[in-house]
Amino acid sequence: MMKSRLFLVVILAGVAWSQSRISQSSPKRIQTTTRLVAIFSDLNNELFQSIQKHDAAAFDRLVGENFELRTASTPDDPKSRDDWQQLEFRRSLQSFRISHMAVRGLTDDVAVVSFVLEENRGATAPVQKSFAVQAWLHEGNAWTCQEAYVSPIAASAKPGPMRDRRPSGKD
Amino acid sequence: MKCLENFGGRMRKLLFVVLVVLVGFSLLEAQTTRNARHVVPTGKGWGMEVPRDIAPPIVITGNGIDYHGGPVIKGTMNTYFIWYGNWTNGPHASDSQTTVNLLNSLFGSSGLNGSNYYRINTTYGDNSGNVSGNIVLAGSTTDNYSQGTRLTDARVQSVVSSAITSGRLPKDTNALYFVLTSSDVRETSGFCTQYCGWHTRATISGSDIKFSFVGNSDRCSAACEAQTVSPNGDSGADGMASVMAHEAEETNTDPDLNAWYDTAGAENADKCAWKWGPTTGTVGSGGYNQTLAGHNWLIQMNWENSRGGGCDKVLGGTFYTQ
Repeated sequence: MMKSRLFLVVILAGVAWSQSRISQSSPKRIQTTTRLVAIFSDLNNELFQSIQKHDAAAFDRLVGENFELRTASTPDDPKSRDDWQQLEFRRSLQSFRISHMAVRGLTDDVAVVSFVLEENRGATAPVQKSFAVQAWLHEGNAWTCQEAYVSPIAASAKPGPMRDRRPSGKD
Repeated sequence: MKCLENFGGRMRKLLFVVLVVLVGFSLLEAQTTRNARHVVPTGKGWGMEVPRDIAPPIVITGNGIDYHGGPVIKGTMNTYFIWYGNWTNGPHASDSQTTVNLLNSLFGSSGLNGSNYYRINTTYGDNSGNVSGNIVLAGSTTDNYSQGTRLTDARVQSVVSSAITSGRLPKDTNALYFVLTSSDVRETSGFCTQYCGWHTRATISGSDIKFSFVGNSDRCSAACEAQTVSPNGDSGADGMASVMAHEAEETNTDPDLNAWYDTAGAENADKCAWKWGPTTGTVGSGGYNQTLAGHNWLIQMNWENSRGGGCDKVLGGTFYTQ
């Protein structure tokens, strides 16, 4: 019994050590983000900061009047801008993180944006990770979000070969 | 009794094996630990890691970017260009010798090399010295679509590997190899939607080789160019110039991806991406912020690791946020 436990300890130690060596020996590329990723990272940071601070003026400036939010759980029951705002402003968003952003500019005035969103709503709720897709429209001199699709990422899913807290150029 | 003695003998053997293995792991861990870092306060709210065994007189901290113990490239950093695809008469006007000449001049001896702009990088170092601020184009070659028009990251590495192993370019560990693709070439891992270029490292022919991908920005001008009316009348070259400067600065200060980056994982040039500072003329109408090698350029600022840290156009210059 003891013998097998000791073997188990040795094997686990070896596996842990070898895994740490593997992770250290496979660096990834470091990216220069596109101009559009830089723009929409800033815009989404502003948007989620407006939610965090319950700043209705900033929220209204960034979200179009005809905005709809669709989620995987209720795909045929979209939330309007007002409904989404009320929901978000009722609850607390302690912190958020946007990563893995990609932006396709379909025209000079239309962009499709996708990213991973991590939302921390406090100690009582687990950090929620979602994959979000947005459609943005450039009107006048400003971009407004017209449409968003959000789907939770299962805890077991790993979105791409990114490393936390290492240079990625994407964040 | 004999059974118990045998069991005791086996146990002693087993314990001996376990002891040897644990001592082995311990030694390996000790090695790791010796190379690991202390965390010291920077006065900015986050910890700073410095080597445990060597006092770090050169490594400057507390400027919004952190040192993680890896080497920087010292002395003159060589660059090598691999012109991949059609750089004679490709689908965009910028797939041309004009672009080749412009970017050759930017990386020539009177371009970025030793300029007040590139010397911003001299504020970075490791425990044996600082970045010199010198960078030159040491050689170039062409590649006629050896990996096709759809490149993966692995194929980009193959392009570099082939150039070195075939002898078309020397094997140089103090260098950055650029794979520069014409506008008809896709990089399938996110060129134009996520990035305009990237840098990394790999072991090639047994050596630590640093390389970078930068595609012709005319493939996606909205994503990878600040302006289509550009200072040199060649939007592709002008767009690539800023991205290439970005990759060079980062490779110089974080060649193995373990030296200089901040708490969010951004390297020096990442912290100033798409920020120009004041320009002569308007961005969008041929504005520029640097004059190098007899040409005007719009090149992003770089993060200076001194005076509290900030983006500037020249070493010791004013910090700008946009």
